[in-house]
Amino acid sequence: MDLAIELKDVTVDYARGKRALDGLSLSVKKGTIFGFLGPNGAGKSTTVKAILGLLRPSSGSVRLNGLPADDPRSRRDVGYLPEEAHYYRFLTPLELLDFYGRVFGLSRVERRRRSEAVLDLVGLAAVAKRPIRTFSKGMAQKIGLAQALLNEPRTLVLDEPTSGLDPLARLELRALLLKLRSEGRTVFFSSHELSEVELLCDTAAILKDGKLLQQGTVAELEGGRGEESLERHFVRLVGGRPS
Amino acid sequence: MKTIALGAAALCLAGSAFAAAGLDSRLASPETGFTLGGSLYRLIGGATEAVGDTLFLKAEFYYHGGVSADYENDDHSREGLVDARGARRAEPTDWIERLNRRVRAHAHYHLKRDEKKEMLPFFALAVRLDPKNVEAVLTSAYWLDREFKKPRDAADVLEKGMRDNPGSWEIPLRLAELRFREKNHAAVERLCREALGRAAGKDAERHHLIDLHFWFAESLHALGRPAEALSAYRSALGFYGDEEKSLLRDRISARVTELAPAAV
Amino acid sequence: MNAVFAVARLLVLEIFRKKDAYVAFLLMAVILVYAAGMDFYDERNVVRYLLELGLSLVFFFSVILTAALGARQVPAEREARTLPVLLAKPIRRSEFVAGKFLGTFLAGAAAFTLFYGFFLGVASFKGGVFSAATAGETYLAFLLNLWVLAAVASGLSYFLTSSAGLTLTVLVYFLMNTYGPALKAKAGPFLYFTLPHFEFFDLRQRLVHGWGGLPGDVWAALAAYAFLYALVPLSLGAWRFARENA
Repeated sequence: MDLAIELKDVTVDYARGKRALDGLSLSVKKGTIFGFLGPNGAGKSTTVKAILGLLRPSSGSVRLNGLPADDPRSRRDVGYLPEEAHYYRFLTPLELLDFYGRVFGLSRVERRRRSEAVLDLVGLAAVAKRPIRTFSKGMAQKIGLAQALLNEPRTLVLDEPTSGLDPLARLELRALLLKLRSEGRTVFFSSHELSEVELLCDTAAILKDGKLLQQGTVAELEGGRGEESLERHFVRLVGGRPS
Repeated sequence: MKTIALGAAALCLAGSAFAAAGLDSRLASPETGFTLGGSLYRLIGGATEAVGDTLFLKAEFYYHGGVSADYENDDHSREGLVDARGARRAEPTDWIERLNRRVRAHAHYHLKRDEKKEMLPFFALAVRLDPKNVEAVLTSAYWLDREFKKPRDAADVLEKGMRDNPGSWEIPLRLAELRFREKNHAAVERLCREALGRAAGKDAERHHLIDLHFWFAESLHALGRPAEALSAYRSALGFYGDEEKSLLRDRISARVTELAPAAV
Repeated sequence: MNAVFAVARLLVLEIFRKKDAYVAFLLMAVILVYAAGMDFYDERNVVRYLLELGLSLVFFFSVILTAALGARQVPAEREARTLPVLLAKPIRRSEFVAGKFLGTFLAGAAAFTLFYGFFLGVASFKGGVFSAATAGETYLAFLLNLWVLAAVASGLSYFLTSSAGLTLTVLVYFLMNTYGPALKAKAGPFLYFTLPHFEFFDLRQRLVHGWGGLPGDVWAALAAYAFLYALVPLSLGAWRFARENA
């Protein structure tokens, strides 16, 4: 099986009759970067939660790395960076990564090695022993990326990863994601940033009101209507007026 | 925030514990009692009396080895509680009650010899925190005097108790008894007059009045005032019935016989 | 099991990082040391009052710390949004529940051990003569008490806010310690048989008044009760959590 993520007819209903996802089907091939687009309230975060087994769909199936998403083993090789995450403020970055490393079942030596490596990668090595409660928002985002990469995941799930990042940080993140793809890893990220999707993604999908409007390569999404840009295509699909 | 809340709760507890413990290293000294009482009153108000009363009951609880002795006529020889009529305490009705009975000690027990000193803190604190509890004053003084052989401390408690309870005749009576044993006759005279004055018009028990008049008489006799002593002895005799016999009556009668010709 | 112990370890770190335990210890220490310095009519080795006061303080603070820690775990994780990040790791929901409970118990037990050790030191220094065996049994019995308390606080945290959970846990604790044996007569059999009988694990009377330890069959009953009762709130909490979206 060469699919990292597969959703089939997934419906998610919240309380008070709100339908967050409506028969969503999509698939993400291994070793690709997949962009997930949609306006606010489209159901992107709900989709991410369904993929990670953080919620149980009302119907349909979700598979992650070939296993049902509610099986914890499916997440062994997965890294997750939420849109707005907060981490245990009384811990230092090293302690936080050590904690997650234990959850992954890593040995003490391996935890130490990987923690130092990811902290170095995201530029937090110098503050590894400072309590997280003293960190700025940008630094907290970096912590998030570090913990997402700790277990050297085969699949990375990122929810609005560039939100709150300065241009330099975005460049670094872009480079990192491309590097991960070159190593054969899969990246799934939801985003508002159409430019990022255009630059990075092999395939993308557009979601609105819980329904999948379109899925394909970026070229397919753009090329279907001549030389229309992804932005114009997106805006037209979700019912806005292109500029 | 939670730390502050926890700290505040702990401070309140500390305050109560301090109040309950009577945080004053000079507890044995009654002169400072009111100073402490004033501070405590500001802290926990009228609860000082309630705490004092509780501590007084605690002394009895300690005397019974931490067991609530509700049974006045327990059979002291047996584990478990059997009253004088031989009725057993009811059997436990469920497993919870059965387990509780096994965990809690229930045997009737009294503190022995040196163990009795463990009640001292509660006597000390009870009279400190509830100075108007006459029973606490009297009981504390009794234990200090008779059980712990500390008559000076007992006298201190009674002296303060007298000041705090101007309506109580029992306290000067007990202090008179103590001073009588010390042969401090001037004090006995003063205290007996005080007690008699306070007892006037009250429903005092006969044997207490007999004791009071007897000590009054003895002290007057020792102070070289036979006429007054004779009057007091006769007052004491007046409480006995015609056919009543007692060693004390005989002794008083002997004194009257001795003094009557001299008084004349 | 790695995940269970990892989560539990986090709580032990938390109780000592967040200063609550130190505040409690300091207050307890101040009161105990001062009370130990009190003199009663120049009588030496009067110590039972100190044992009772000390044990009451140790028990009180340990209960508050443990209940507060357990009650705030899940609400705090929800509020801080740390839950999705953790549950996106290979950890079962049941492991999370077990880890939170175990951590609450271990953290409470660690704080209790510190307090109890200090208390025994002060009492011994005062010249207190008490049975080491009974002191040991009192310690173990209270650990069982904390086991049940941690389960109740932890279980309630899946249903209630942290303050509601803490209040209810502490209320039940003091209610049962005061009225437990008499609850059937006062409130009927339902509460009597369903609320946790914390008074089972209170051996203060035995230690303070020299009544000695418990026989083996009573220990077996207490341990069985503690372990079985704890399963109830934890199972309910796990059931609730399994249905919850992170």
